[in-house]
Order: sequence, then C-alpha cells, then structure tokens
Amino acid sequence: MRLRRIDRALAVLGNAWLALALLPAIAADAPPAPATSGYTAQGADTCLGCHDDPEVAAIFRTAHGRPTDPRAPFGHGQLQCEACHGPGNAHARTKGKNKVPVIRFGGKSGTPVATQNEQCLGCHRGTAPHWQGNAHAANDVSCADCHKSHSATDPVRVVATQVEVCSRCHQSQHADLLKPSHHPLLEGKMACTGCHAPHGSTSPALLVKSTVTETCTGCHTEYRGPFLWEHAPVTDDCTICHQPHGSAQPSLLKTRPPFLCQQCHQVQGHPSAAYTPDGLPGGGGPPGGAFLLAGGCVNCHSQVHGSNHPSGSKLMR
Amino acid sequence: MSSRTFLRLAITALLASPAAAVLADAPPAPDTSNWKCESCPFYAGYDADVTAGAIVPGEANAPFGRYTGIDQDKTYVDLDAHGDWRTAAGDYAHYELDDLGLDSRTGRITLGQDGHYSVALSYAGQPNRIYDATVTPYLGGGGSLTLPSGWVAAGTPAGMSALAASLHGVDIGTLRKNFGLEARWLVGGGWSVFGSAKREDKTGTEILGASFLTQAVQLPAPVNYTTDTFEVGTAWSDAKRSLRFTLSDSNFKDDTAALYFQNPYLPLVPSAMTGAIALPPNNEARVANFTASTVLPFNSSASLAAGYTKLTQDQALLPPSTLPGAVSPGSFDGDVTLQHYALTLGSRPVPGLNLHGRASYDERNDDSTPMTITQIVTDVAPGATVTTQNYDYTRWRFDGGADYRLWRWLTIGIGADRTQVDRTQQVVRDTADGETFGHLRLTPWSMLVINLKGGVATRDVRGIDLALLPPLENPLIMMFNLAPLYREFFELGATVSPTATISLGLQGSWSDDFYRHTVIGLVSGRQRRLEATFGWTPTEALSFYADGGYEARQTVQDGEFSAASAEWQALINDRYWNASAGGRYTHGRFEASVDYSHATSGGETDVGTIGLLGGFPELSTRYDSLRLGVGYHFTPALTVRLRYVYQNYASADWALDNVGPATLGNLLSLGAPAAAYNVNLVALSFNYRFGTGAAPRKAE
Repeated sequence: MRLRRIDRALAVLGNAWLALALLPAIAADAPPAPATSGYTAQGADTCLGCHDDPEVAAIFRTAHGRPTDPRAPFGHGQLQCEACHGPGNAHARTKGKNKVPVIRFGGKSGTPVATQNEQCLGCHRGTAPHWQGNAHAANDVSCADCHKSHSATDPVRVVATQVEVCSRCHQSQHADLLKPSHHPLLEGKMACTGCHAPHGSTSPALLVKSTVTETCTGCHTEYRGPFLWEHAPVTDDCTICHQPHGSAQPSLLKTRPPFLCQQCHQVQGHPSAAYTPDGLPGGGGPPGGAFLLAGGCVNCHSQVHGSNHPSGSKLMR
Repeated sequence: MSSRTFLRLAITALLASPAAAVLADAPPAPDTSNWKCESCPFYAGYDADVTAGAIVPGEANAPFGRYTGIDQDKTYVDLDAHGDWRTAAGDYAHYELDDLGLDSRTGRITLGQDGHYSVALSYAGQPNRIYDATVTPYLGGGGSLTLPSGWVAAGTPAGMSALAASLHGVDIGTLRKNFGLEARWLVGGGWSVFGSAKREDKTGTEILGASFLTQAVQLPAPVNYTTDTFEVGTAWSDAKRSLRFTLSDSNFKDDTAALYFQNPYLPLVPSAMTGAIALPPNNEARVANFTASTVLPFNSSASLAAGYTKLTQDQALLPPSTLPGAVSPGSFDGDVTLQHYALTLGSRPVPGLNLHGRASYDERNDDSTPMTITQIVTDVAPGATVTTQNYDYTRWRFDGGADYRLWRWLTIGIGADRTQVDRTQQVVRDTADGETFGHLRLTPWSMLVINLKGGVATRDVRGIDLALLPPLENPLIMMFNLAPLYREFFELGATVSPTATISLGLQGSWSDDFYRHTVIGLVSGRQRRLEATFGWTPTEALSFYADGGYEARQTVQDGEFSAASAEWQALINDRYWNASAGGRYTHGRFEASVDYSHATSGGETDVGTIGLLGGFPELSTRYDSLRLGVGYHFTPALTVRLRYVYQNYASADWALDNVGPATLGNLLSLGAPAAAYNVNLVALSFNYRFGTGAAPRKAE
C-alpha cells in the first residue's frame, strides 16, 4: 500500500518534471531581448577609471583576471568586469544619488542573492550542479558570503583557513572541533570539504559521496570491507555510533563503551550486566575490569567495524 | 509507475530540457572591439617567499602534537616556501610548501597553461599521535608479538611476576603520507578531461584488544596500510547545463594480514598458547558516477545523479584457530554493490517564492558467497557453527520545502523529509523516518535577522523478526537506530549588526527524543545548545572577536540481565563549554594578534538499579590556549615574526585513571593515561619575499 502511494507520487513528480522540461521550447517563441546592451564603451578601462584601489585590482592575481584563459572574464572577447557585475554603462554615466547600481556581491550588497549567484553559475555551473535546492541556496547564502573573488588567496579554498569561513555560520560545528576527540580541522590539516560539498550534493548533510558510510570510508579505507563478518550498523551509517564533528568520548563516539554498546546489545551474561562505579579499581564491588575500563567492550570485541577471521562472528578476532 | 519508469522519465526530461533551453533566451553580446583593457594590471613574472625559523616547544607530548607532529622537547625547523611564475602567454607554475620541518608537511606544485591544461603534484603528511606513555611486555613487530624469555604466565596480570621488569614504552599513533598526481586538460567547447593517481601510506601502531575467552590483553598492533586510488573523468558545462562522468578504482592493501600474539595468561586449555587476530583485509572499490544538471524555465533547475560502486575482497582466511589441526576455510568472496540515484529540483518561479525537492534512492546488495563456519572462540574453545550474513538495504528518501517572502521583513517556510529503509537480516525490516518543520525569517530592520525553525520527527518500524536476534539476546531490546522514535526540535538563529563595524550572532537548538516503545535500550535523549559570537572592527587596522557556547546532552537507557523488564538504568549527562576571544592590530610596519580559547567538558555517569543509581567520578577535560603573535616588516621584502603559544590540557577519565597494566584481573592493559599537557611554545621566523611583485601569501 505504502509502495503504491510512493509510486503514485513518483508518477506525478516525473510527469510534472517532464512537462517542465519541455516548456523551454514554448518559451523560445518569446520576443527577442532588446538590442541595446547597456554595456560600457570601453569595458574594464571604464570601470578602472574609478575603481582603481588595490582590493579591486587584486583580481588580476586570480584566475578571473587572466587574459590568456579564454574562459576567464578577462579572457579574449569576454565581458571583463561586466561579466560578473552586469552591464555598467548606466552606472558609469550616473553620479551621486542617481547612481544606477550594478550587480554587487555579498550579503549587504543590495543585489538579490539569487541574482548574484546566477552570475557565478553562468560560468561555474559544472562546479555546482546541485546548487539550486540545496541547503545553502535555500537559506539565501550567496557565493560571496564564502568566496573572495577579488582576493589573490581565497581563504575558503585553502585547507588551513577554510574552517574559519565555514565556522562563521556553522558555530555548533566549530564548537565541536574544540572537543577532545575531533578531526584535524582546527589544526589546518583537513578541510570541511573533505567530507562536505557546500555547492550541493544529493546525499544528506551535503556529503561528498552518496552515503555517510561511503564518505567516511573514502579516507578510512581499512573499514570499507566487505568483511567476512559485518557489523550491521557499520554497513548502514557510521553516525549511529560516531559524532564526526567532535566528541568528549574517545574515537568520536557518542557515548563511551560499555554504555554505547548496551544501547543495542543486551545478551544474557556480561553484555547485559549493569556496570556500576563498584567496578572501578578500589570500588569494593564486583569488578568491572575489561568489561568497563580501558577500552570497555573493545578490549575483547576489537573488530567492531568487521572481522575477517573465520571465528570472528562476535567481532573478537 | 515503477521506480525504473520514473528514472527513465527523469533522464529523458533531463536530456530534453537543455535542447529546449538553448532555444530560449540568449542575451545580445556587446561590441567589445574597443575593450583594450589598457589599464588592467595583468600579472606576468615571478614572485616567491621563503619563511625560515625555529619552533621550540617546552614539555611537548603526543596529545599536544597529535596532528602537527610537534610532540618532542626539541627544536623543530619552521620552513615554508611559496612561489608563483607566470608568462604573458599564460604558462604558469605555482608551488606551496608548508611546515617542511614537521611530519605534518604539505606541498603542492602546479604547472600548466591557462585554458589548456594543468598538472599538479602534491604531498600531505598527517600525523595522529595518540599516546607516548603506554607500555607493553610484548616484543617484535610486523605480524608477530612475543613475550620476553622468562615470562611467567598467571591467571591475572597481577600474578605475572615478570611483568614489571618486562614493560617497555611503545608509542601509539599513525602517520599518513598522501601522494597525489592530478592532471586536467581543457579540450574546448566546455569539455574537460581529468585524471588523478593518489597513494596514501598509513603506518604506525594502534591499540588492538584481544582475548582468550574472558582474559583480555591490549596489543600494540602494526598499521601498514596502502591505498592506491586512480580516477579518470570528463566534464562539460555551459551557462545552463553541466555533465560529469567519473570512473575510479581504489585498492586498499594491508601489509600485515594477521597478528599473532603469545598468550600472557595461564592457558585455559593446554594448547591455547597463541592467539591470532585478522587485520583489515585487502579490498577494492570501483566507482562510476554520473551527474547532470540543467536550467529550466521559471527560474528553475534540475539535477540528476547516479552512482554505482562495487566493493570486493578475496582475502585468504586464517584457520579458525591457532590450535593444532585447524585448517583455513579458504578465502572470502566478498562482493557488495552500492547504487545511488537522485533527482533534485529547485525553483524560484515568482519573486519571493523558493521551492526545492529531492528524491533519492540508495541500494546495498551484498552478493558475497555465504560461508558456514564452525567457530573456535578466541583460539580456546569450540563454539557454534555460524553462517555469514549479507546485509542489504534499499533506501528511498524524499525531502522538500517551500519558502515565501510574505513581506519584506518576513519569510515563512515549511519543509518535510521522509526516509524509508527496507533491510534484510536485521531484526527490524522497515523503518520510516519522517521530519516536518516550519520556519520563519524575520528582518524587522536591515541590521537584524532572526531565524526560527521548529518541528517534529518520527520513526515508525515494521516487520520485527525476533528470530534474527543473536542467541540469548533479550527480546525486549530495541536497537536505538531501529527503534520507534518521536522527536521535537527547535532552532534559533539571530544576527544583528547595529553599526557597520559591530556584529553579533546567536544560535541555539533544543531537541527531545522519546523512544516510547523501548523497554530495554535507549529510552530518551535530549540536547540543548547555545552559541554566541561578537565581532568588532573599529578600523581596518584593528579588530576584535569573542564567542562562547554551551551544550548539554542527556541520555537515559535501561537494561536488564535476568527479568522481563528493565532492572538497571544508566543516566548520562555530558556538558560542554567553550569560549574564545582575540584581536588583530596593524600599525605601519607592525602587526600583532592575540587569541585565547577555552573549552571544558564534563560528563556524569550514573548507573545502577532503577531508583538507586551510583555515580562514576566525573569525566572532565579542560583546554586553555593562549596565542600571541607579533610581526615587524623591516622592509617590504623582509618580515620577522615571533609567536608564543601556551596550551594547557587536563583531563580526568575513570576508564583510564589508575588503570595500569596489572591493575585489572582480566585485562593486561597498555596503561594508557588520560591526556594531559602543559606546553609553552615559542617560534621565531623570518619571511623573505622576492620577485617582480608581491607574492601571494599563505592566508594566516
């Protein structure tokens, strides 16, 4: 019954999209755009006549400012400043209060975010195929909120400094990185984009790969498997046990063993026993020993990510 | 309509829409014949800079130098070099070499020609120092750990009379060395072809637990991994559409297939003198990915993704035990296929309205040949005959939302997410997770933005099959990731910029989880978070910042060991605080920065019979860091920088404190201590820049 409903929903979705896809042909019959372009007479020479400060001129130290790259705004035949900022003739010819604005970038620029981003996507469509519809687009994040296109060094594209840019909005994740167990982002040895695709992806949390597990095992290849004896949650989602942004528990665990393991395993015998403070050294009660201290459960069940030993069904070998 | 029909339609539409879109709008191009760009300061020439100096840490140890490699009391060389060379014809070379005196050194050299090709060579070292105060009686390396001659086995570590004299230090940690070669060729017409070859060597020693039934030992296990990854692909894009196709092959190789270790205990059966543990098997992942996107009318766009992954291994298996006569059952024909398909739609059809939705499908097929094996438990005693299990799943996920700007100062939105997973070989066959939320964005004044979001999430389960529980498992257990769940959540975000130089931010979240049908297992969880930030930039030369945060997490779980209802309970409260403040100042040739960071965590664990819980000693960590930096530009080319870092870290951990190698009756441990350090680090460096202009500097 549920599957039938899903199929019906898919049918509606698929047909609606097909209809949307064919609409451009209808739109092609619309009248052509006016012939006046609104561009300046001399391109960048017009713009640089006023905007000659070093911060603007720094663009010539970036990929955008290369005349030898035919794809770049300053490549042969391209629209130079107006490739991004839009036609500037009216802007150049007006002054003071009557100044006609061009497209400007950044959260407080006055240009709608969607308009800003469309300018960037005009060239960078291939970098961000899943942009529209992703969480950043839905929250009106502009490209310039993260990128400094006029700067010789764009901090968000440098491994060591990217985390500072992302942390401006993602404060919780930044706080997690201060926890004792964390990935080496604050140390500048890993970037957020090691796991996340900020321009959009088709997996949850903008991950770079299709699933959480595939993303994690992209680096932790020793846990990729397949193993002779699998641990079911490992095949499903690493975040069932781990907090990837940081934890006060060892190995980015959500809770420390044995309690984490006991949230799923209550086998008769030692796995279902209550490990109380009496089990601490000098606690005076039944010893907790290897079941509770040091690594807890992994003192014996060390192969929690999977075992390749014929006798490893309990993940002990 | 079946899912296949849906995908066929989606692909057809995706292919059809670009053709149609081409016919749509094409803005008139201006006449650029007079656009000489004579005032454009195009760059050609070379620039470089070299930083050389010394880093002197005091009382450094492994936890301090975990990711940097600064873990010894010695002087480290501080050496960086960057350079950029470019011709007027568009040929270029670029290099960035950082931290050359440390194990965490990185380097990247790029050569190419604008608009034609690029080739890059890279290296990145990534140390992960964990312990340098651990001890073991084991000798040897590779795949064999032996005990010293004269070893006296006993029933408990305390009885191993030669233990104290046999202990020697062993460092726990790894070093990753990543080598890369990447190339990209821009074919023209929007097409590019690219490829890469990468190798990662990961070596070192890790803690690996093993046991002989209930007598456990922590081993210093070797890590000798190599992962080779090759990728080729092609991509095409224009202003409205894009395509990308990649193929990759990744091979993981473990140089040590198994770890053999001598039994330090009196053997429970006479021949149980040696144990063997299988280390991660060699494996291969072959991946194909396809992505396409297109712009649609009405400010809309669509994208499609398809991925196919094949995971395989065929490693020769060890014998079921080290006991005499045990024979290897051969090799394991591991074969898992992963598939991923997704369709995303986004649209802003009218001003102020934003619609987005996505449907995705994931599938895991484990086609490994099942094996039935009679187990020998921990190289000691015969166990059950068990057949390997193939875990498959299919996962449908639908999510979408709509936002509408009702007035200039108010945007309202709703959203929903539904994930349905069908699994095999697991106690719960179907789970359906759903989340529904609403949100508001308030902008009463341009300087103030408030975001509010709240909603509920649920998980429904079907198809519970208790026959799939392990033997002797309590049938009342509800594995928390497969348990019915009800969650309420609320999020708050606010930013205010009362002046052009001041900004404040506030983020908070609140969630309550209720596992209402769970008798044994996790029954509830709650989380509270609050973070605040402040920034003030009175002048271009002066800036200050401060931030702070608090988080509390609480979980309640019930357990039992004999009765049909919960008999014991664990109540876990974890709390975190963090705060930092700092600033930067530049004046003429002088620059200075300061940063202070503090982070504290506390964890209370109460466990016992329901109504009579006993508290563990509090888990705690405290981190304080002060960083001071000053620089002076003697000349435009020469800068001297002095850096001082003070870091103090203290922790209390009942799982590690007072647990030495011989403390516990059933664990010969490595005596790993809770992390602590108190380090003063001074670094002095000189930076010299040369070339035809100012070289791009590494962001600081």
